[in-house]
Amino acid sequence: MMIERKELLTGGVPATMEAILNEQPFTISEADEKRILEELRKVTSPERVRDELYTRAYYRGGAFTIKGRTLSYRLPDIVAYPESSAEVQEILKIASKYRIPVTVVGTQTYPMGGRPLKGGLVLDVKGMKRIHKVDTEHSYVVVEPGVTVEELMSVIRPKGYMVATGSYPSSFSVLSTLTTFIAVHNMGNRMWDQVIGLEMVMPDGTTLYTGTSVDPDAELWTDVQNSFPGLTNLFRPSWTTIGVITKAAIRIWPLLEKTALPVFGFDDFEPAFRWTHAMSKSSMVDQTMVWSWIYVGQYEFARHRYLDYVEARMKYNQDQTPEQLNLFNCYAWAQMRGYKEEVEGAVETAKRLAGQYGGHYLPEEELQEKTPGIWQAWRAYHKEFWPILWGGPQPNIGPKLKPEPLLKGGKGEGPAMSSTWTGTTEEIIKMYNGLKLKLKEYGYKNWRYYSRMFNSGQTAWFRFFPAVDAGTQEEWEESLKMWDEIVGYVLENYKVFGARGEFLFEDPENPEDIVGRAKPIRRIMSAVQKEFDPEGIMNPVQKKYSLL
Amino acid sequence: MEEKIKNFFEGPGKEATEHLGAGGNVIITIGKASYILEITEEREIKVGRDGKKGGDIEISGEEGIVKDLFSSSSFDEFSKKMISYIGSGQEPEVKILMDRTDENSAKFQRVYAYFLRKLFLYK
Repeated sequence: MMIERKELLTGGVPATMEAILNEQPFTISEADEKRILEELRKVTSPERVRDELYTRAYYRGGAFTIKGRTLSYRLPDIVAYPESSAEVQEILKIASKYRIPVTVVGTQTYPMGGRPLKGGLVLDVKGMKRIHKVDTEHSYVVVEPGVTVEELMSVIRPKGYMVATGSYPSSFSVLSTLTTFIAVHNMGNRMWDQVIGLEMVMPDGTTLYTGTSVDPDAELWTDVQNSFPGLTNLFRPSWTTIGVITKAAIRIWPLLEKTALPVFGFDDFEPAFRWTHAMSKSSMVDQTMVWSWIYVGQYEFARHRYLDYVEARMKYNQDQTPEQLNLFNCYAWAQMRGYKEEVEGAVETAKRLAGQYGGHYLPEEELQEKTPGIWQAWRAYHKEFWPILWGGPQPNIGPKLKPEPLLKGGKGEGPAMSSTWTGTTEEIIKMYNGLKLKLKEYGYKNWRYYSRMFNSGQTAWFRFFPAVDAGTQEEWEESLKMWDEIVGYVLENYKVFGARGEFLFEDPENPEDIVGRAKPIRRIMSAVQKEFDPEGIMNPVQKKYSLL
Repeated sequence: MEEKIKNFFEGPGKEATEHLGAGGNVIITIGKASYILEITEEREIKVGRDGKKGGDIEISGEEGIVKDLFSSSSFDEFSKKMISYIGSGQEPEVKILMDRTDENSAKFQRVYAYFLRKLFLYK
């Protein structure tokens, strides 16, 4: 049972990886390839269908994780850049005719499709950049998959609106994270689901709509009170094994009259986490988080007092308060947005409840004075809602932030092993306390984490990501083993659920035999795939070895 | 003790020493005695007595514990001992003696960070 849970939740065992690596690549004769290129160019344009090595090499796929690195080895044969749903439709018809494997790629990250595990055709949808609708009156937009967070925000932010974003650069496409990868985002406590409906082009050329867009005359795209099942979630998350999302209706949120981000310092994770749970029940809270001193310190001292920070990291345990940095053990805050009186009242509630849990209120002036680095980040991202993230390209709107020159790896996280967990508040607290001891067994006195609450506190969420600086293959393997043991420890001891099972099956010789209670899900997905993709062109290796 | 430190970093601890940048200068304080571990540009390991001058990093700990760690016959043995000391809160302490400048921050990353990581002192 233990093994089964682990496979379901973490995805991938050595046998799985080996089986995937042994998959035969797609092969094609020179004459056929020439014919396909000609046909593809006819339905798009000559410059938007490429087969040069230097272009193909760009599409090996995501390599953020060890698994990603291992699997990012095969190149596509052809790369096409559609600019409209109609072009996607024509391309997929050609791919079906020649049975070419298709991998969809968005912002060059695996969320929007990923790795051409069999070679074949990569469909890069970054050029699909139309914003079809901005309806501030009804708080939604309709965008294509190439529209980035920055591009959308540059349109809606001046109108006093924001879109849900998470821990990813603003150069990412809005849809890659909200529809395919469904990354966690900063509106998750008020409403996890940000997608109202989808337009998808299926491999056989069919266009499929969800929500009220099935009625071409319905002006408002909504998912409320439909007369058929809401199928949007059937295609999310999507490793593009079913079709290509070509449009989506996404919620946007008004900033209204006032925003606030009351921040509190706590002496331990448990009371801070309980405070976020209490706050999450308030209808005023978009998101509430706890950040460890290790992660706060990384933002705060990357430019200044970096050596003090490193020294503290070597001195203090996870549950100690790093006095020499003048930090609290952890920080918790609640992101609020609403009418003036509501927000002011909610801030007072936050202070009262924090007092009950032993939290220390930190006024903005104090944060600005004592921890300006982290406050700059929190304020921009969670109070003023600028699409700013460290490490990625700087957006053309909003304030410019100074980069962190001393730390590699995007936001300064550095290389890490990372996993995210959902569960009850009690169980997450138990897991945190257990991890403090468990990680010491691997030499970690302290490690980074942050937590969130979703859907008004219905779901507690926790991410931990200890640093792993493995420079050699051997060290990577050691790190993998360590991580495997830590994940195993969590699963064995705590009733929590881990996310992101990408490659799942019990028996590499028989991948249809998907794990346990997930089998019916696999059957549904397989039936849909067979119906719309009779030639099996959509991401066939991914499809074979995953639930989706 | 000098020999013990040198033997450790040339033997079982070589894995860590290989990651100490050239010009690295680490003070090892055991009880009241201090030793300096240096790596020359030619990657030669030098250990001297009473070397408090010029050190960038100081590793200090109780005599019995540091001796126990440096008498490990393999890196694996050292790791196990170190993890056990971390578990009981008795691991050696590390101080960064360098001035707090951007140049020294970069130097720490370049010369010492990975060395300390390998010794389980900085994770």
